[in-house]
Amino acid sequence: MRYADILAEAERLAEAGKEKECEDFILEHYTKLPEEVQKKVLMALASETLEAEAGEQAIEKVREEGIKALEALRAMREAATVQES
Amino acid sequence: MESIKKLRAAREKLKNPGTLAHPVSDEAHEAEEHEQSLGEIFADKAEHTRFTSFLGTVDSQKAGEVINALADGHVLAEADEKWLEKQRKAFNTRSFEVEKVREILDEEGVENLVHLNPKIALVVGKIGVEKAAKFLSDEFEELAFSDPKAFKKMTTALRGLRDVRSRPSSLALERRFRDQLFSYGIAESDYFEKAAGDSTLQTKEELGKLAKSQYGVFKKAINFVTAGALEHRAGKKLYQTREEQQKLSEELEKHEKSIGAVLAGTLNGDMKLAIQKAMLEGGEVEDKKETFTVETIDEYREAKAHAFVPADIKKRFEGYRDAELQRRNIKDPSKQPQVLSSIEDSFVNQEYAKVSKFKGRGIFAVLLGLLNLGALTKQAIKNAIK
Repeated sequence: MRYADILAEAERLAEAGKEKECEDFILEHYTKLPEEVQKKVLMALASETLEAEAGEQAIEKVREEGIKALEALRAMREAATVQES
Repeated sequence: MESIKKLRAAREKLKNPGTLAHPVSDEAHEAEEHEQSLGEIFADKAEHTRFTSFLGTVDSQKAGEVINALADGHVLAEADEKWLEKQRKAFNTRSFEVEKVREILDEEGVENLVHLNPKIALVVGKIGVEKAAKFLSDEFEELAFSDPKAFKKMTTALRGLRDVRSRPSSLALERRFRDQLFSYGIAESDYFEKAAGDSTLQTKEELGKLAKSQYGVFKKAINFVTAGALEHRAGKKLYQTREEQQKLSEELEKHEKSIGAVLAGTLNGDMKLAIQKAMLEGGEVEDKKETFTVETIDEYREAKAHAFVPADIKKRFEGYRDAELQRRNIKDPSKQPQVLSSIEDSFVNQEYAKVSKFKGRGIFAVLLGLLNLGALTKQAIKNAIK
């Protein structure tokens, strides 16, 4: 299968809303793509993965920071209650 | 040419004695070890190309003027000379960062990506881990010199790649976090729904606005705590009156609620994405570069219309050149090669900007890669208009 044919079939699948099939098709024919294109496709997958991973880590950071702050706020509340009583 | 040599020789003496921060680990490295003079950069064809491409990303107009002046053997104006020196240092820093990213994207780095994404595993299964590492390193290098902002974003994302296989699973982390929230009496439905209030939250924009505002309040609450508010404000003096005690109590409750809202929000898929965005943007993103994220088939079609077709580019260039010559009232451009060269440079920059603004998400990132939009370099555009 030639590069132009692979592109045409991938676009046909995307147009039909078959995104998963489109991706599977591209990956199935990966080694038939020109090397420069292979690089771009792999980079697209890596970017998506790294961004998702960075997002997860960012959320993990928010959670850690938030839980620590809740602990501190609870301690403050308790201190305030002791003072009040 | 003699003046350029003198200029380069003078610049070679200038060294930056500082240190460079590793783009991923922030570890300090001696800048001098990674120093390249302008002479060294220009003597190496590949470095020369990377440097001029890098200058173009900083200020395409200025880059064109300075490169033309150097090529014509003119001595640079003092301001231009300072600008070029500043960019040389920035270029050396970027080259250092690329070198370090290459070290991270070694075979182990690729294995970690494989662990995270089965689609990458499939590709690596076909081409081998060594080739995959080389492909990714090459792409990172290309990104570093053509789109510094995207490169920076990606290097930040590389931070967690090293320990990815030793971390607890996301499922285990999620479960632990739910338990923690439960111990504070916070449930997913609680704060999040209350914070959403009457808002329908039907669009991404509405959700984004809510996340941004909640995250802003969350940061204020965190600052309140980390500033040691209790020690500072809740000392004996504060507890002297009931009114002050009441005030403190109300403030603590307000902060607990705003923290709870964001934490509970991280349990909701859409809200989680909106919070990530708010965090990464920090509310003050300055993105001068226009970007267009391709997420639908219609947007893909639009991107495709800008695909690299040499004959179309040449036709567009001829129209642009003729209009420019007419505007400048130049009858015979062959007598003014510098003007022609400057028209070519502006056209190349405009054309490159049109294509490089397209960034794909999901399958469309892969399709754009297939379409090879990203491989369109300025040099390729230059070749097309000759």
